[in-house]
Amino acid sequence: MPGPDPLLHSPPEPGTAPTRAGTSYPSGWFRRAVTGPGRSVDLLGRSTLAWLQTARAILAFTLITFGSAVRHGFRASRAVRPLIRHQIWQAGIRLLPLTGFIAFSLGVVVIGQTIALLDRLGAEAFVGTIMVSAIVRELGPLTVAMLVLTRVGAAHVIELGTTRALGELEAFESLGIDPLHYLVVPRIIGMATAAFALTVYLLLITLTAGYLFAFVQNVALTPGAYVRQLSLALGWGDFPLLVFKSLGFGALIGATTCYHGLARPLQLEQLAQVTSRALVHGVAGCVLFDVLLIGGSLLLRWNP
Amino acid sequence: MQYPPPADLPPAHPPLLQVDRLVQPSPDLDPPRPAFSWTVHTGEFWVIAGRPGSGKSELLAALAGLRALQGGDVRLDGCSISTAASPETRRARLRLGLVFEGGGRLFHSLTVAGNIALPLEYHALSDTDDPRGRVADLLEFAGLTRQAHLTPGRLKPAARQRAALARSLALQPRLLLLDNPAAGLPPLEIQWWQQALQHLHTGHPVTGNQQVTIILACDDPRPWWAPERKFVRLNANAWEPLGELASDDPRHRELLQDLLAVDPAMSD
Repeated sequence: MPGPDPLLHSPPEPGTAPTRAGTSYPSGWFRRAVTGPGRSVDLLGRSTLAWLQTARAILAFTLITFGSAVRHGFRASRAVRPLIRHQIWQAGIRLLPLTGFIAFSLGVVVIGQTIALLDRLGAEAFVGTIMVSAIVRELGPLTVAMLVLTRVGAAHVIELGTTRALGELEAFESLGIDPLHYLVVPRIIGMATAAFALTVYLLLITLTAGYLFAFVQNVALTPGAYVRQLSLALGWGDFPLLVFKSLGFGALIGATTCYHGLARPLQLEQLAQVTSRALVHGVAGCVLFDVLLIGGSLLLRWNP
Repeated sequence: MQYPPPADLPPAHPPLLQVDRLVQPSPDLDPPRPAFSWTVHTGEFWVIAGRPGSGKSELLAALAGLRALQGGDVRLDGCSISTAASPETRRARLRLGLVFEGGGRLFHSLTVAGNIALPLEYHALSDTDDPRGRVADLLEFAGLTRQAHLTPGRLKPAARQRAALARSLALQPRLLLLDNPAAGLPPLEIQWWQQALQHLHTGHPVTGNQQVTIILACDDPRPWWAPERKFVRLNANAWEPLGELASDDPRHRELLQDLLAVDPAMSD
């Protein structure tokens, strides 16, 4: 009679915790993580390396796409320009109502309550500083990035992944069409432009809605004083930083979602998994980019 | 039984495609097929017959410059199209059209008209070039005028294959590569393809009345028998040019028996 299958019933490895009778080890990464102190570090290291490799691959993909855009220049504008317009419409204009709703909610929840609280504490003088620090510099661009990523980025992964899985990339190449130039460049340009425009709309609506909510609550802050505080809190450096950040978020989301959809061989049944991974990488990429910008701006302002 | 290759008669036309010691990359072929050389002259109609899995699709992709070769070179009009994409290579590739197997890999997000217009718009020399007239001609040629606004997902397989042919003709290629175009199609549809390819081969207004050189890969060569067409048998380990085959040629019988286990006398 054959013995137990060694693949299904492997003996505990040396150094792992003994099992109680009747209990079995959990499977997969969780087992490896919990059955020894060294395993957790190993898992963390492997996971970090995998993330770094993905980041490197996305960077390489972005640089190759940039090279393609430069090489082709304004060639094929008859085919590419409508695509850029379509992307701006899809990622920008079509998202305006949702952005307006989120901006209004953000204004009411964050700004309105903050102004009311500062008024009770007699600290109205800090309203502008808090608004600029919290909303203009951080929350506004990041909120728009998350909106664009979830609403448009996911659709890009599915659309491009389908293109890849159905072998359409070879059809593009057989017709002398550079897939990066035709599929990726318009998406990155469109998403970057849309993210910037939506950030401006979101900030305007949020700041206005917040003040209106505070006004309804009888806060003793005139519109003129509110605008004056905002303008005093805003530095000249905030404008290029805002433009760079929102364009960067859009381009980063475009590159990440296009990379996951196009850059690797793909089967149709893997699309859901790839889309989910692309969204996670998109969120992580935006947050990391934000942290780098904050670190950079703090370094520039640091005066020992 | 091995047959000697056909005698090299002086060609009436200059060479269009030259394959020089090609070692074809294919995941299905292990070890790879021995290197072979081949010359296709302008105006010829070649049929590459081979069983499924013999590497026909990979070979056509290699001839179209879509695969990195393991060895050798492919030249179209004297310009290598198997090397990295230089401007000359890209220009040379535009003289070549490829129709993929099983639906032609149409772009799923574009309509039939959009699929045909895309190469024209992408390669338009100026914004004022209007491709609509040419698209209408190609749609009419393919009999798809009424389906022009449909996306590929809403088309029947036969219509998808026709649309792929129309798209591949958009840039007026001199050489047309077709991968099993009649596979799975009903007899009437196969008849359409026979006539359409014959028209293209002899010259049709959609190709500026110029002769189109054709290389067609298939696993059933019966629909493509015709005088003056040249045949190649493709095996996993051999490239065997048979030349023109008359119906009473013993190689004709052997080819069908090899590919389809069909006796031509019975199939007629």
